[in-house]
Amino acid sequence: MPAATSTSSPIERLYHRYRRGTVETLHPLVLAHYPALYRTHQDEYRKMMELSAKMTVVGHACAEISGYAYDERRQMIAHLFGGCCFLADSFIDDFGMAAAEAYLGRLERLLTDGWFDARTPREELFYVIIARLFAERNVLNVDLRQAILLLLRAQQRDVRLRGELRSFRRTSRRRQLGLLREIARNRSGHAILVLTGFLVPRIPSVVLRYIFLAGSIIMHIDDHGDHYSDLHYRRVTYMNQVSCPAKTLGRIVRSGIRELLTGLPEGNGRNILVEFLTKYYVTRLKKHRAVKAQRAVAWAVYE
Amino acid sequence: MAIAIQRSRVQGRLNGDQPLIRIDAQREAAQAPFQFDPVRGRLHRRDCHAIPSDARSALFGRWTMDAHDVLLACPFCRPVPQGTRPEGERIESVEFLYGVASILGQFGTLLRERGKEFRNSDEGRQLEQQVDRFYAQLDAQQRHVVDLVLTSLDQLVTAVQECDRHLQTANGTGEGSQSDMNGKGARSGGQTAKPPVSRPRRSSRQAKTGAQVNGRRQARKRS
Repeated sequence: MPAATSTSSPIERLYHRYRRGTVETLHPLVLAHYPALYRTHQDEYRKMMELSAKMTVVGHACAEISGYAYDERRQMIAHLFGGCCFLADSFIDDFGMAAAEAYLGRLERLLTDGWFDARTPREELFYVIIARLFAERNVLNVDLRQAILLLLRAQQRDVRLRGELRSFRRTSRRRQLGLLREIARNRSGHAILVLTGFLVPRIPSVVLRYIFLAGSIIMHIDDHGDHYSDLHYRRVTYMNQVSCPAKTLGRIVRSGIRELLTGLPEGNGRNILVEFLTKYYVTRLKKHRAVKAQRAVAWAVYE
Repeated sequence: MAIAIQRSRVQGRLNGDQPLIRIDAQREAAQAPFQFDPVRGRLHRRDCHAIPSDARSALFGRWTMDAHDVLLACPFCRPVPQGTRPEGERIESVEFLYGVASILGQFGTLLRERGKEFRNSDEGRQLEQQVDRFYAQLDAQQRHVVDLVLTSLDQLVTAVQECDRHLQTANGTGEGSQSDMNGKGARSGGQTAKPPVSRPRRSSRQAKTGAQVNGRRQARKRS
């Protein structure tokens, strides 16, 4: 991991700072509840830390856009959120259909009546992190609880679609693309709203739309980077179904950033968000090309 | 602490039929007077026909409108500010009382056990001495107030326990099996009676812990 130098960009300096904070927050929890992640799954551990650092940068932008200073407590919340997202994504993507459905069922129960069966050390780590998150913010805040449930519904829809590919294929192409785009938009759009909801007591409506938009852009960029691994595991996404993915993504990113620049108030939060999206776009374009040319594997840890 | 609570349910020491906390507020949100579309940044009345179909999976229920929201109002249904407070933010002291009562009812046994343990610990003994010193320094009127508060707490605990016993008797949970509770063996929402706290509630299969997640291990993709 390269050290941030005086010549590095502001976003790189933020990444550098937040990587340290991420390790300080998550490493003790990993050692206490799921030490095997650190000792025997170094790739996953590093990916978790990188995702958490990324979430902390995004959280910085969202907190400031919402009108709140990004103090140490908020940074710690974002570190936890990143760890939580990584583990949740792994339950949905990495252990097959049955495990994904079982996880979503148990998550629904957690959100419906508060009970959660942590059957493995990985699940225990997930629950410990989520319990800490819930303790940091009034989880009964009207917007936050809605965002959490909307995120769950988006994940359920995504997983359900994987099991219904045959009937999905029978619908018109226009409908298929519309549905895939909506699912991608909701998954990351609501995830970024959950993050912001944990960070600040209230998200003003005027900025909520733009934060949601940024989330949906992140999902499309992410899916473009994972284009080939998604196809390999028969996961259909909007980005691996459109005919010219790179061109489509370019259009989504450019028009999205234009909207953010015109809609959001000028300030540090907006600058960080736009810089982050630009950097993320560039690195995922490179990842897509590298995997296509078989110069890299989908498992590599990307900034 | 969070893990200890969850384990207590698995071990049958806590009633898992009663909800611990309900974060899901979708029903209430769907009934909110306003619906906010985060895709287009529009605030609609609940029944507005101009809400785009692709936004319906992303709507946020809203109970109030502020000055900024007026700028985001849908031009078709034209929502206007109302004075209703959100369900989740309505402050009623009686709800706090019910909250305390439900926690005492659900966690009474655990709280008592922890209380006994704590009282016998060094920390607990120190606290007891501090409380004694504090109490000794009070004048007669102040002692009367403290006594009154403690008596009220005792009465509250007794009332909760009575209420709990009454509910269990009324639903037949004290003696019969779970299937006797409502005649169908299933309970919707689990908001009424609870079985004896000490009764194990988990099957041996469910109670297994530490097993690895089953299923095909796929290459992780998110980074």
